[in-house]
Amino acid sequence: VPSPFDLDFAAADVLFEEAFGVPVEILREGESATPATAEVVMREQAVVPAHDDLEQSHQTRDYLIAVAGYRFGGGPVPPLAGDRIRETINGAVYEFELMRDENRPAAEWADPAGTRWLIRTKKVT
Amino acid sequence: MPNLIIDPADAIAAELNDYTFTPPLEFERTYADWSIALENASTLRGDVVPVQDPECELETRGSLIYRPRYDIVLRKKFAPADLESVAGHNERRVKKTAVDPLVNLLIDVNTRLAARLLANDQDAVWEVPQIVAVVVHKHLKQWHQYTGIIRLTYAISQDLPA
Repeated sequence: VPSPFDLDFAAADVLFEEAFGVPVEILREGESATPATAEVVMREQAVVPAHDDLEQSHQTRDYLIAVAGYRFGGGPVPPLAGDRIRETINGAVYEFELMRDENRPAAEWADPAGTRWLIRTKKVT
Repeated sequence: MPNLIIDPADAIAAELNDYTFTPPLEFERTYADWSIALENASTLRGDVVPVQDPECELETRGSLIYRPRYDIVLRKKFAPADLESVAGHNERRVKKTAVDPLVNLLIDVNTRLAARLLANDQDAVWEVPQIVAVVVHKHLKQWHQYTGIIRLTYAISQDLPA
């Protein structure tokens, strides 16, 4: 049974999504793109070692997306590493791929009630 | 004036670029002083990088022997079509059929250089190959990217000034 706090947070999530949400498309190979609303909660540019001194730069972008809004094939589905989020930023279209990081999965519940996914991505186009 | 460390690296890149590998790719000699962005790694690329600490010792009373090492690094970020879902798992993974040709390519690169004098630098004698990684599992798992690494050691003798 959700606690009163959980219900309050769930109600606030809707307001946050309205206020801070951006339109995106969710992409999965073999499925039609799904429009959704996502909150960008973290952006980070990192340079990581590829081998010895050889490096790569990665642009990380984490999103919050409602569990009910992450849909393929007519119903909600769990996010999978390898899915992509397409977002228009300053008029240019970019894609961000769901990827796990060192110790954390590509997606996990963002709240105790499991109403939103915290999704970890890296810029790939 | 010949450069003991850089000339072999250029010769390795030239030697590899003269050959048509499958899948095809371009090799570039770099200093590893720049970082490739993940979004620019979708094209298969090869880097030839001099390792920063070459060995050097007295060979004879009148000559030194240098043993410069070179990392040959292949990288490619896989496309969505190269990934597959696995029942019961919450991650898509790279298809083995997408990775296999790149593993074979790395071995082809190693074989291409094995026990050969470089056409553009006959003074550098191929000595030791080390396949550091036929595939870096962590990159495949986290970034859906292929990374393969060979480290080659050459021997170059240089006379000491009289």
